[in-house]
Amino acid sequence: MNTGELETELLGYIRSEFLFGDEDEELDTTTPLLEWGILDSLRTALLLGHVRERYGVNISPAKVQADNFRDVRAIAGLVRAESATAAAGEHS
Amino acid sequence: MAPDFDVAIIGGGPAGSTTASYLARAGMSVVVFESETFPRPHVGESLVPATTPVLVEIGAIDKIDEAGFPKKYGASWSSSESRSIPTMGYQGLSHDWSAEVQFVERNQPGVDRDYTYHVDRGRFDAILLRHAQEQGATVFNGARVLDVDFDDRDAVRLTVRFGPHSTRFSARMVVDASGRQTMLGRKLKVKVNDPVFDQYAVHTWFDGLDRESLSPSTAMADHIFVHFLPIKDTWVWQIPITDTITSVGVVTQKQRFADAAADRDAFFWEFVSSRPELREALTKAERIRPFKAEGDYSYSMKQICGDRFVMIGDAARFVDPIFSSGVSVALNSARIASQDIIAAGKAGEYGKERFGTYEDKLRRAVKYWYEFISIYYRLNVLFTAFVQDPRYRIDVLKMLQGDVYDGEEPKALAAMREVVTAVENDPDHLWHPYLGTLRAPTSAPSF
Repeated sequence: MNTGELETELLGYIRSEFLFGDEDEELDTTTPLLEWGILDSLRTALLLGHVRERYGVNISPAKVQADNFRDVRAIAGLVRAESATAAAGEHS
Repeated sequence: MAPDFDVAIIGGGPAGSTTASYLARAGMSVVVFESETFPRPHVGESLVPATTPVLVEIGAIDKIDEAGFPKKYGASWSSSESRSIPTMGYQGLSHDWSAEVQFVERNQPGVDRDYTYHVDRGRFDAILLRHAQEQGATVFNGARVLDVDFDDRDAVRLTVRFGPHSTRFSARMVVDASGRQTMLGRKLKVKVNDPVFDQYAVHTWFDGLDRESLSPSTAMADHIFVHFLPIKDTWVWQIPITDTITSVGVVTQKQRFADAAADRDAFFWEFVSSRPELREALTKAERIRPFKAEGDYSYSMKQICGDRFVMIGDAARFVDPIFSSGVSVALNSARIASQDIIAAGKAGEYGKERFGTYEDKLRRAVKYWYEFISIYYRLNVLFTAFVQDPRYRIDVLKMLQGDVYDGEEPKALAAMREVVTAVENDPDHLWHPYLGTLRAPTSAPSF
C-alpha cells in the first residue's frame, strides 16, 4: 500500500469512527486533529488498536506524541516508519 | 482444660463463613461470632470469577446458582472524555465506550462457567453463613466480640456480648474476618491507612433504571459498568441486583467530597450530572434505599498473621473496589488461610510460622492488584490501550478475573509500568495531561 492509499484509509476510519461520517468531507490529510479536538487520549488509544488490527503494525504507546498525531499525514508517516522498523527487525 | 473450639472466627461475612466451611469440612471445631443478625445489607455486590473455584470447593456453588442472582458475563467501562473537548463544528461523537471484556475470552483454572454473579449481599452472605452451619460450624448471630486476649498460652480467650450479657469463649486460635471494622488490626495497632487511595463513596439502589439505554448493546446490559466522570479520579459503578434493581455508587477522592460541602444526596446528584445521559436515566428510576457513605477507604496491615491469629478479607486489607475485588479477596484469602490452619491443626501448633504460605500468597496477590489499580487511576487510557491489544488483553483479563493468587507477575503489569514512566517523563506525550492525581508509592503491601 502506498502512502496515498494509507492516508485515504486513515481519513475514512477517522470520519466513520470519530466524526459520524463527515459528509461534507471537511477532513483532509492536514486537518489539525489535536487542535480541532478530533483526537483525544481515548481516541489515540483506539487508533493504535485499529492500526494494529488493519495493518499489523504495533505502535508503542510511548510514541503517542503531538508530532506523530498532528494530522493524518503525520499518522501515516508514523505507521510507515514503525512498519519499516518492524520489518528491519525481522530480517536482522 | 481443652479450649471450647479449635478456631474462633470473628465475623460471618463471606470471608468468615467460607473459612468456617473449609475448617468444618476438614473436621475442625469452629465457631463464628457475627455481631449483626443476617440478612443485613452490605456494599460490594459484584463478584469476579476467581470466587467460583472457592464456592465449588466448599460445596456452596449450587446454592448460589439456585438463588437466581443476575449472571455477570463481563465488565464495561464508559468514558465521557470526548464530550468535554471542544469539537470545532464536528459533533455527535460516536466512541464513548472505552473498553469491555467478557470472562469467556480466557479459560481460568478451576472455573467451569463463563459467568460470575452480581449479588444482593444480604442474601448472598446469609446463604454462605447458613451453609457454614450446615457444614458443622457453630454460628452465633447478634454476638459481638468485645475483646480477644492472647495472654494465656493454652487458649485465646474471647469476650463476646449477646444482648445485655457478656460471655467468655476459648479457642486454639482466632481468625479475624471482621471486615472493615478490622477488630484485630485496631487492637494490635497494626492498621495503616493508605495515603494515596483516600477515596470516598456514596451509594444506593434504584428500581427501574433502564440499563439497556446506558449500554452499547443488549448483551452487555447486565455487565458491571464503570462510568468515568469528567472529574479526575472519579467514577460511578452500576451493578444489576435483580431484573429491575440496580446498585449505583459514586467514588471520588475524599477531598472532593469535602470541597463540595454538600450532603450525600446533593453530592451524588451533582457528580452524576456531569454525565447528562446518566443523570437522565437515573432520574427516571426510583431510588429505593437511602444514600449510604463509605469513608476511611483504603488501608493495609503491618501484619496479617501472628501466633494464634490470622486476618482475612477486608480485615486484612482494603484497596479501592474499582475491579470488584472485595468478595474475591474474602473468599480466596479464606481458602489460602484455611489450608494453613488445617495443617496447623494437624500439627497441633498454631505459631506464626504456620501461616507463612498464606502471608506470602496474599502479599504477592495484593501487590499485583494494588499496582494494577494504581496504574488504572494514574493513566486511565492505558487500560483501554492494553485491553484492546491482543498481546496483553488476556493478561489484563486474568487480573480482572481476580486470578492473581498463583503464578508469575502478569506481564501486562511490567509493560504498563514502562509506558506510565514514559508518559510521566514526556510532557509532549498526548496522554501526559491525562495523568491522574493519584500516584501510588511502590510500597503496596506493608506486611
